[in-house]
Amino acid sequence: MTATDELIIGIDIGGTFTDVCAMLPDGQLWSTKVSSTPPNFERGFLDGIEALAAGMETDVAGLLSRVSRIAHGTTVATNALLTRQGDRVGLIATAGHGEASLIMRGGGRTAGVTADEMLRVRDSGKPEPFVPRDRIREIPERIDRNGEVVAPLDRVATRQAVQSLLEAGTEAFAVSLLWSVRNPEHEDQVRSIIHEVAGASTYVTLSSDISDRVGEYERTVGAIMNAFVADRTNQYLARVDQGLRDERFGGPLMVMQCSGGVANVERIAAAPITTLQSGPVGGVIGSTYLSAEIGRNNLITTDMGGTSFDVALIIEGVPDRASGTVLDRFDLYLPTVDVRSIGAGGGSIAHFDEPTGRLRVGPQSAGARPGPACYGHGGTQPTVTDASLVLGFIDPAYFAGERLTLDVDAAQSAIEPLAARLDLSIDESAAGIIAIAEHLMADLIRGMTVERGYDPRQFDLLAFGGAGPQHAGNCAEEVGARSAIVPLGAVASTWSALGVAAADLTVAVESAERLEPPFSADEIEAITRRLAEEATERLATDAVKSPVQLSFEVDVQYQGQIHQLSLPLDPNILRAEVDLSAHLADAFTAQYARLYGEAATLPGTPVEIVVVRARGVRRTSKPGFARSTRRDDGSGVEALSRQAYWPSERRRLDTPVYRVAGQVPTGHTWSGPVIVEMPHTTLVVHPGQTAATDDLGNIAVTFGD
Amino acid sequence: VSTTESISWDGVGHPYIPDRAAVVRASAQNLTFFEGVEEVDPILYEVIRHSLVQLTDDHGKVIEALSGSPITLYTNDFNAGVLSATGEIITLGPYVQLFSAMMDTVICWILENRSASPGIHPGDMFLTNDPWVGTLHQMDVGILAPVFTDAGELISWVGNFAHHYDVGGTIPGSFIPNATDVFDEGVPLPPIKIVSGGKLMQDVEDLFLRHSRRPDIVRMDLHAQLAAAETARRKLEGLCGRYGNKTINGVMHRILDAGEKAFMERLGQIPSGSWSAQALLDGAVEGDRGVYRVCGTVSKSDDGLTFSNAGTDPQAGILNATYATWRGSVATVLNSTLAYDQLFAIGGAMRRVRFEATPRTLSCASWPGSVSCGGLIGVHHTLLMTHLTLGKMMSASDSLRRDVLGQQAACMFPVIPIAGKDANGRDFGTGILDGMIGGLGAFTFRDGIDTGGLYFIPKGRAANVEEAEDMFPILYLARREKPDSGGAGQYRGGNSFEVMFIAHGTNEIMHTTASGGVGVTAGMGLYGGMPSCPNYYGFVRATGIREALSAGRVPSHLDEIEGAVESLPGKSSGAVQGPEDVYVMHATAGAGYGDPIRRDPAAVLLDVALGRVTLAGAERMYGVRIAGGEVEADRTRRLRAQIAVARLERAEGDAHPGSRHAVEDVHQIGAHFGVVAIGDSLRFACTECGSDLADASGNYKDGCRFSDRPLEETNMLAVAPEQWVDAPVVLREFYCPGCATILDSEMTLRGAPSLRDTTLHDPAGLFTTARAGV
Repeated sequence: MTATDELIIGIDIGGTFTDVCAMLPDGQLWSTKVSSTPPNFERGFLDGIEALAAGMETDVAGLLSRVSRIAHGTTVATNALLTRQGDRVGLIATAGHGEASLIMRGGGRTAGVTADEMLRVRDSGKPEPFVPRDRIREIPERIDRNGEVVAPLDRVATRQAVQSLLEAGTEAFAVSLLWSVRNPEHEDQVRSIIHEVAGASTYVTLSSDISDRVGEYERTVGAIMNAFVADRTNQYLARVDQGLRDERFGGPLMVMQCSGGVANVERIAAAPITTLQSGPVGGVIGSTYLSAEIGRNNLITTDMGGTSFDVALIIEGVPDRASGTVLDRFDLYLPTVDVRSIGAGGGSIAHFDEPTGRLRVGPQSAGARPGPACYGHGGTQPTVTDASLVLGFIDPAYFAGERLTLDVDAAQSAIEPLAARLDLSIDESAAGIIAIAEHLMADLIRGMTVERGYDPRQFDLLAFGGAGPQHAGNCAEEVGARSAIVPLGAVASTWSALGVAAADLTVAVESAERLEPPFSADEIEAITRRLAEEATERLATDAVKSPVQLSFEVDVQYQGQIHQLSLPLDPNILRAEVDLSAHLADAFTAQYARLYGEAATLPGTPVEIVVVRARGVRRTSKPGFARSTRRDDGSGVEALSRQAYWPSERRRLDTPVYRVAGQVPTGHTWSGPVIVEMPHTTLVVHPGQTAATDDLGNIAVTFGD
Repeated sequence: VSTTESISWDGVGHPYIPDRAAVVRASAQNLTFFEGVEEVDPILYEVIRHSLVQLTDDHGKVIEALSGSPITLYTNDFNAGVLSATGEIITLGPYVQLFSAMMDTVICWILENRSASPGIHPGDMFLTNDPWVGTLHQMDVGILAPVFTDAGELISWVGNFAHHYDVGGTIPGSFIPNATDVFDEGVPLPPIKIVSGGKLMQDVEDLFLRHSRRPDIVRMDLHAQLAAAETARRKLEGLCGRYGNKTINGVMHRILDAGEKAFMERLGQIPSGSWSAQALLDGAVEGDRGVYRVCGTVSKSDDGLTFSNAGTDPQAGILNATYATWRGSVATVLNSTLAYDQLFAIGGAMRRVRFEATPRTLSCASWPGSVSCGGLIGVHHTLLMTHLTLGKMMSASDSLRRDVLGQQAACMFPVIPIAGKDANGRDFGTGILDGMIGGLGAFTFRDGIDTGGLYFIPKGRAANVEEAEDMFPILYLARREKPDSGGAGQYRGGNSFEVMFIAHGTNEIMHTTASGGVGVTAGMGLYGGMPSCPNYYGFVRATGIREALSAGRVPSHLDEIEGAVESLPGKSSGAVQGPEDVYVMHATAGAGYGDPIRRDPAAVLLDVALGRVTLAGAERMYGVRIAGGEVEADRTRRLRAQIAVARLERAEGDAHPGSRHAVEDVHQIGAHFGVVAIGDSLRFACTECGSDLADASGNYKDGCRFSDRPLEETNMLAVAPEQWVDAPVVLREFYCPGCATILDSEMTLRGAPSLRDTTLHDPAGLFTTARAGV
């Protein structure tokens, strides 16, 4: 390596592991995994850099001197919310409306819970509020839906409210006033007053800074949670930043956001809540990066961990998004890549449910402790991982990078009672557990594709995360996807870190004005101009050289309906001689028909615009992926064999096992039944399935002829 | 079903109550039922079952996405299901549970009445909104689609119901609080074929839409339902194609059988007996000051449960529920109590639920009674009877006591129907649905849940204030939790909420009230638990609010608003809100469980600290004195003792404290009483002091003293009933003669005979079989 080498490092810190991935200028990837170090996550961060340096046979200073950018996905905010360890937040709200976050629209027992939990009414409840009633103050002021001031802000009362919240021990302020999305003037004034009274360094979150959307409950929760995590997240990032400066790193530190883009530390400081769930999102972004390289624009990304199975969609190279999320039964507005989960992970517990006569898998999980029975940490209930082990899909001595030797007998003993109850053999029962888990995964995928009008046959399934590739082939075949791809060999298990490294700077700004037909092109153009300016301003940084790329969307609905579809808006059309209203109505109807069928369309019903949105991107530099130029002789592959039970054959077969310790060899084809092992992951190729490797190190599983 | 007179339960003059076996036999002459059944292994069973659940959930999601009315969206006032060929429920979505037991009867009706003409064929869909065939009211429109095998055999049905904004009648929105009978209301359509062989029948659609003031919205919802049902049907056909008809049919039968078996096993943990309850409803129609009685009884035997409405008053005004509503309420409560693990697949359990129906009554109304308000009133009084009777029944089971659900908030659903013209001269009309904020009644072991939603619409939500203001010309001054609203008790009922709003963007809003429960609450507690507050609707007139707002004063509490208070009756139309008038509403809350003076004073203190109960409420309802942020233990003890003494001093009845029994081995029946074995005899006894009450085969109330309490003393927010009704309504409390603990209470009229609420058929069995399930 020379001094001109520019490395990009991605570090994604989860609750258990810290994943590190380095992109070299020639497209080579280096990755490593170290343990996370809660609550002082920055130690794990530096451990990760150290481990990477060691792997690359250099020291930290030497490594960092060649690094042009470090991007980081952090779990600090998520962790603060889940453990409820954050700042004492005080809330200032419009008179009469301070309880929105306590009332929770009446949905506080059921948001984000499963149907089983909904039905168990006696065990249901609302979560503890982040801001209890005694730290909520209502102030006289009122703005209406048109953004007009109905009652001016009472500055004296506001000062008193701030004072009294300080006396109640408030450490950070959340301000959520009605209709601040249509007129932020009062929220801005309250912020100034807080700074006057409590000092300019006091952390204040305005709801209008967190979300542009109408709906005070979800916006208030977003503001409260942001204030709750702000200090911890920002201090953490400052420590990481300082640690890097101490090691003489002079490049930019970028931070991953759940919207799918990165931002610099200063931007994050205003809204650290946007780092929520950035790990899973990182995986999706990594997939987006790969999708362009392999020419697969439509991907179903899957990540399987110990407790859950996460799915996202990439459509035409762009991740599918959502405007909000649910955290501990709180709904909040937060623009995010749409990652959906079900409780089907390696640790998900199988049990026979007597009242319904069902063999159920999950959502209860053995988690990491005690974990599956085969971990030998005292778990006795059978899990998905136990089933895989019993069937011979995973090697007890070669699991998770040989961190752990698995106990096959314990796994069998755990499944035995279930087998007795089902009147099946242990192998059949284990196969049943896997079949049900894979079916749950497939149903989630089917729901996300088919229900949105996408045909899974036009998708490939990308499986990353430690346990995912075991089930990828069957899942993809079950939903009818073209193939299942395990990406880039060893990197598959640190996929989120790759995504973090590859993420661009992104921003989305929207206008919540409602526009009725006939639409005025001039009016819309004025809005897009305003949004464009704001997006550009928010993307201002020296860290990236590339220009701002802008695109526009409108959210459109049938007048009277509440269901909206997002349509791309070509700014040129605003200057062209077209009937804008008819154009949007046609585009809307076409997409509506695709989603719900021709019969659902309502010819003659006018459509209206409810949101105009600008998306801005500044691309970060990325080297692309290294392609192997030579046909590999397979010398890096160790050929082994073991007995494995194949459900489709209903018996055990002596099965070839290929162990790939380093680079995945190019141009190999393996016909199932076969098992391919990599240090942190195992690919199971069932009879009738074929696995083939490409020159990037991806393994693709296809089906049938 | 059994009745004393010969009734034709045909869905025409009286509600439709099918004999499923006979219906299937008869319709088999005109169509072929697929009968193949294949046993499936537990793995394939789970896989297919999950697919059916998913299909149903998605079916609902399509309706949700495409619906044109906020009512449908926010209240989730729709549901979808998969049913067997003969109309038994296999799966239902997590939406309004009241539709639980409607699709199945409607399908029977279609089989019975439509298989010959016009015939039931592949690609058909039927539409109905007929409350006597099987809906809550005319606004609930059902779409039922038969699913056939390739060979043309009927293998299943998919169906959905959704509330439509306006289907006609004399008032926008089709809730008609001044209806004389059904002829003032939306026209009920018995099942008619709206899709024939996959083709929409335009004449039928036109006929349906023609009744509505807003055919644009109704058309949107109708198309949403048709599209959703078609998608679900195709998916089910896909499953049949993939796994085979016999396998799918096998799974459906197994779901039903497993549900039935689990239900019976749970019933086995309950002693045999009968439990009854009653409640009073205020005002049958606009302008009426009468009081009406609803009664319910559940009997548990080795065969299952039998529900009876004997004793219920004749149908009157707009208070009526059809049989479908009553049965839907029973299925709703069962879904979340005795069948909670069946994932809404209530069909199996319903095989073991029978009804002894008395027609022409408030809970089983016959044609042509008014039923348009069934979704606001009928639903809630039938739910109330089910909560009280099932609650008492399950309280008698050690293993099921914790599963009891008390009466929840927003009963007599306080929808706020508004209409008028906005500033742009456009008509608006809607119902504000803040009632979805709800609140849960007390459980037997913990408090209800403040503003915890409506459990039977688990995914329903109130709109945000901003969303409501964006849709309608109003401006909220406040929306907050209402302290003291929940029923007091050893476990407190969950609080509800209050709202205040002004007109904004219009000068005039027309208000309707269409439920009731304003003078006499429908939030009745269990076994000594106090009622929750009643609904309240009203105006503060001529407040000068505009000027106040301009001057930066934003009143958000009632006491900050000056003006003349004008309360509205529970049923009214035509009240006008002008620019200076503030509309005020609060909702019935969750009811209590057990005697409030048995509540832990520390829990009362916490309630006060968190603003859920006022200081005055703590003292008056719970006998707890709080000062300086602490419970004054001595004064509290004295106050509670005084309350007990006062109860017995005012009490009537000649019961006197007799012997006291040891209660260590008591079998608990109510919150504060149970059965003890004393030698060879079995006696009801108070579990607080051991006082003997009565022989266990008799009526424990014979050993109680009782007192008729003015309603306004039973909840801090209760009003004197004479404000709205003429009859002498009281809450009758039954006290232990020894320690004055309230053992039970009932809403009744002064001087009326007391209800026998608990009858044990086999008291000796308590000490043998009933404990088996523990």
